[in-house]
Amino acid sequence: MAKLCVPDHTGHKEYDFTPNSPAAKRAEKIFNRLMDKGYLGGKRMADGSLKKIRKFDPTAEEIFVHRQLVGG
Amino acid sequence: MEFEDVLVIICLVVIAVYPGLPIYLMARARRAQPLWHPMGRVSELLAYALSAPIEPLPRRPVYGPFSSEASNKAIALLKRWLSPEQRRELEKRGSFDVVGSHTGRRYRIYPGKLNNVRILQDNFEVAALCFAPADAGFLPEADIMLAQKIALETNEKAALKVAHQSSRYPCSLVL
Repeated sequence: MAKLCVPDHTGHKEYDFTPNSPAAKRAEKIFNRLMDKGYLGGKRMADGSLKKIRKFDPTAEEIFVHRQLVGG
Repeated sequence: MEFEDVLVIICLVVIAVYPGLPIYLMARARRAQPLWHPMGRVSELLAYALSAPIEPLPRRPVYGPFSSEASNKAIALLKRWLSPEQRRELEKRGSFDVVGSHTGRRYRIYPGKLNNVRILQDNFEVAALCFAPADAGFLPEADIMLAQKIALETNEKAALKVAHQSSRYPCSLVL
């Protein structure tokens, strides 16, 4: 089962989904809402490769989103 | 029988009848001391310290990015995203290396929230970079490390654009 991970103070929140399911639609909605807020996303595929994403990919093994990067 | 003996007997009888009397008298004596007298305060604290039962300090439960539960959850997530080689490095020396997506340069990510990324040149750390998600203060370290890894491996240019270089390292490779 694929996951959308949104980091927060508890570690992170996980939204499980399978492609073409109501859970995937819900995860996509959350993903799009966060992208609109300026979040950045990355996906991990089953073979371990990573890619930057701006659009929700239901075929991804795992998606991690985080707020935009700032210099410290 | 002398006068002192009579006094001692009277005292013993009073103590036997009312055992709280010496405590009452000591409390009265303490109260009678002027408040500004430093020894009065010291003796009061000493009496309190000796008489108060020793109890463990109340500990508030810890939640949030500093709780072990949040940290463990974030570490488990980070490990899922690491390659087998990076996972080995993290377990062996507590940091892992990533390769930049644009320049092919190697970086070392240490546990931490600030200034925890190093630029490697011939396996030597030549500069430190500081960048993190905007809400880094509320996140466990492992989540920040994961965001840094994804940024460097998928969008190195954007990460370097916002990153600050530490002045501890004289070499200016990035900016």
